[in-house]
Amino acid sequence: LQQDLVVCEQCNAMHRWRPLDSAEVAHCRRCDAVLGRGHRLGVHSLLALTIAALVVLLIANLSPIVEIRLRGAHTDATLPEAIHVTWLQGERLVATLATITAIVAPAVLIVLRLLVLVPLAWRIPSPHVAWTMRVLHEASRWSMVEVLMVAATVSIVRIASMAHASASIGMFAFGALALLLAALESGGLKHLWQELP
Amino acid sequence: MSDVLAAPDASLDGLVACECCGLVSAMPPGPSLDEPHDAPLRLRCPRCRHPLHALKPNSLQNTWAYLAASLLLYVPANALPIMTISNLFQHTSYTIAGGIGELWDDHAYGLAAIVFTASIAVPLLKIVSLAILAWSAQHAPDWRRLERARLYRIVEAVGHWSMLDVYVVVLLAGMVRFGRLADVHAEAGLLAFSSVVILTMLAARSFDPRLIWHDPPEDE
Repeated sequence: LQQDLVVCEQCNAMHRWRPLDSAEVAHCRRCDAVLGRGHRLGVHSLLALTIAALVVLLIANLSPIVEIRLRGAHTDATLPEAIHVTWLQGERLVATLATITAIVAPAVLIVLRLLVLVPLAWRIPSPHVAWTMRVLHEASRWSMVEVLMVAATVSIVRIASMAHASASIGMFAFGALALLLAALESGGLKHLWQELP
Repeated sequence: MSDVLAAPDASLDGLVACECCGLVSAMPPGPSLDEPHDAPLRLRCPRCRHPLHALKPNSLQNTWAYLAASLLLYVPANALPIMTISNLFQHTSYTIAGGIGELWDDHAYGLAAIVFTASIAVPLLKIVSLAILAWSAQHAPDWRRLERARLYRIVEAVGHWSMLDVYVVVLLAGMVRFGRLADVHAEAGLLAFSSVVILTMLAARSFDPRLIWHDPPEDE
């Protein structure tokens, strides 16, 4: 309806829009919130990053995060295994929360992005765009991979006082996943609507 | 600066922007979308079908309810142990603060500072900040609007970092499994603590920052 208008989502102030240079960031005149960024990845770069994130997500969840040695004994655990132990210890709500925020939300962000980006890249109309975009809008709030990264670092230090602990593949994969998700999320989703056929 | 302020508030021109996709639509005439009790007819964005409203429905009531619940749980979250570490000789239970002390004693001062910020400072400052935001939206609408808008954005940005300690316990419990030699067990305080994190995130989500810019009705 009003293509050249942009409304600040923080304060409802309405602005007339004009295309931004690549280094520009537009701020709301009233409340200073970010209205939009000039530098944006194209659909194909976004698709490449999303596929990379999918691969890294699988590695991160299937590889041990930390390896521990204690008097010859040796254990390691992937994130799903660690959450499963918490579940068995009776903290089921905590285990569910950890699953949602560290596994499900990032997976949803990546898979649904593919569902939007693949038809976009080949210029095929998709009937699923509306609901996927709504779910993506909500899911981005609940993905906390970067927090998990710092938590893994803290837990290595905590374990060091009782056993020998070292970071393993899963930890580096979660680090890479946090960076990839940050790169994907930085542009937001709203501009994708302009690319739709 | 790229853009020209076209109107101080889109609703003055009878327009409403979709929270999800940003599309600006014209509001149909009739009862205002600001009505606290949602009209039976729910308007949806023509592009992404997200519900349209000029303000989040029942924003302040929901924010206060989530805040009250999180304040109530803040006490057991900090008083109860969140995990027990046991070895051949002893069982030691740690509260949130106890875990920070342990990191400090291990000379991991940087990590101790990060965990203190994420687990103790952020939840408390979030509850206080949201209470100030919700209170001032009702009782002091003119007061430092720009600063309040910035405060809300900070609260939104840092909120999920409080999950840090929850992940630490989950990882420790999952990885330290040497039977009687060494074992880590999650405790009830963790449930209270993670509830505080989620409830404060829900409180921030229900608060509508557009309320900061609303003018009070003349007679009230």
